[in-house]
Amino acid sequence: METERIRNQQVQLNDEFLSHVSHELRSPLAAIYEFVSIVSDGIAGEVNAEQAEYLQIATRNVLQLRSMIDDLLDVTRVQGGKLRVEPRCISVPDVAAEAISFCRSSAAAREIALTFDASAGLPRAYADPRRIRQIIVNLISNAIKFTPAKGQVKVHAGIYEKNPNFLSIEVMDTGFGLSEESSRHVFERLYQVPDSQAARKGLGLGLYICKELVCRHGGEIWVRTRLGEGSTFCFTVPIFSLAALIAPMFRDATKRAEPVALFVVRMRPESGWATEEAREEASLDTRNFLQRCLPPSLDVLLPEMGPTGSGDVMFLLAARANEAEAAVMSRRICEQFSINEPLARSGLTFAISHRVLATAPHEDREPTEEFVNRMAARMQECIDNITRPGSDRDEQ
Amino acid sequence: MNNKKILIVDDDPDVRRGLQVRLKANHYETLFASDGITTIAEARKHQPDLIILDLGLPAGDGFAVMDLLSSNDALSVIPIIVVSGRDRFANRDKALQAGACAFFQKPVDNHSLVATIRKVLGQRRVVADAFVHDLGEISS
Repeated sequence: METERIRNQQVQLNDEFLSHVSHELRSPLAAIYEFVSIVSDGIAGEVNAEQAEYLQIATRNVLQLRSMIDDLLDVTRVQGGKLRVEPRCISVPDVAAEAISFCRSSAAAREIALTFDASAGLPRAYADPRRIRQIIVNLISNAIKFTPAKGQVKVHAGIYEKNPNFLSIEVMDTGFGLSEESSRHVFERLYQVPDSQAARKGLGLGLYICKELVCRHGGEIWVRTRLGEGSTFCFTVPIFSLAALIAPMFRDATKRAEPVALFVVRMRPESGWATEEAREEASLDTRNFLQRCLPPSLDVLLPEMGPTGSGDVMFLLAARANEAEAAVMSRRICEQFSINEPLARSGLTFAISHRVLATAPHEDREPTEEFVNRMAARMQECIDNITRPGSDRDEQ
Repeated sequence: MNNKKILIVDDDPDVRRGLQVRLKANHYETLFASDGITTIAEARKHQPDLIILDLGLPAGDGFAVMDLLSSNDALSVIPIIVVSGRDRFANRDKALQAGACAFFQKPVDNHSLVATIRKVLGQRRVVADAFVHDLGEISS
């Protein structure tokens, strides 16, 4: 007991220490980044091509240091059980393309060909776009690190052949590969490949964080490798399924006949979004806020369903409610919106509307799964109508 | 020259200087403070159009500063952007609740910061009552 108590105390101390260190490292790093970017942006005078190249190298290394600090913080979150993922309905090829463009310059610096391909007509995934981007960037950076100059790194996304409810994402390299011993331990915290030929070994946290993030999405991660023959890191993420998401609402078969209300909350900035990041943050804040508005019963906040055709962000809520109940709920959400200080200061406009769907079962004995699929299809149809470009023409 | 005054609050002189150069290049006038008490005094004296605020400060940290600013009618209208080295997961929501209109973690992407400053300074103040419009039934 005593040893366990001491161990727990040590773990906590380590976490506090890590969190403190990573904070303290940020300030000098911020100053370096600021002044390098002031010079490279030409604010302090014109920059010639050679100087620009050197500044780019400095910037790349600053960003690498920043991502190491982020890794340290992520590890403290894993230990504290605070690593969060915010799953949404996302396009994996879009996210992978962002990850690749982020890694482009470090691949080019080592003359490594970095390519991406995806199977045609890939369904959307149910995952946190920032976290998936982080995982892919991490795997690509590793691949680049362990691949000799003029090698290849290929990223591929497709349906997972062993389970069609998942997508698989693979990062393949023509690097040194791993021994059997190493491949067994490579996802462990602080593991270092022995006698690694990579110029820089890194902190030994990247793959550990990847594993934790993939697990929190309900997926798996593994590596196929042989010494001297390169490595392929694979991970899976669940395919987005409206039916799976709304299934809990219909668990009680006796209440099947009760209607379902679909709420649509549209969020519009007063004068466009300052940055894509600002849009993502505002979406996340509003999602969290809406989640808190929901009674802890069987109501479901659906993930973002794709572009609306305008700059608006749309949120969808499904709840078991008839017309009168839905109207009350709608009013309650409006009230909550108007008394929320940060949202009131955000310069965003919100519009809420709802539609009640009858759920009349085909027959009493229709199996639950079929019933849920039918409801999901009906709901999807309704959502497609709402999110179709131009469907907001009736707004004032 | 757009003559907007921005009060830069950070206890690290290098960070203050960096922000000054960056904002000057974008034609903003800059003022400085390196602790909580001076921040309030400078805000009173100059009534800046915007405050860029660090959280870890001597003599009254960022949250104490936001508290004091929001309790003063003349100062509570000044928009605040928090730029901090502290963990965003633990501090962003707290900062927004305390009155900040944006949170940036160091090191900051300068282009996003400038875009946000521009947006905040150009923005009309929102009246809370006219906030939510009910559109009625959606067409299906």
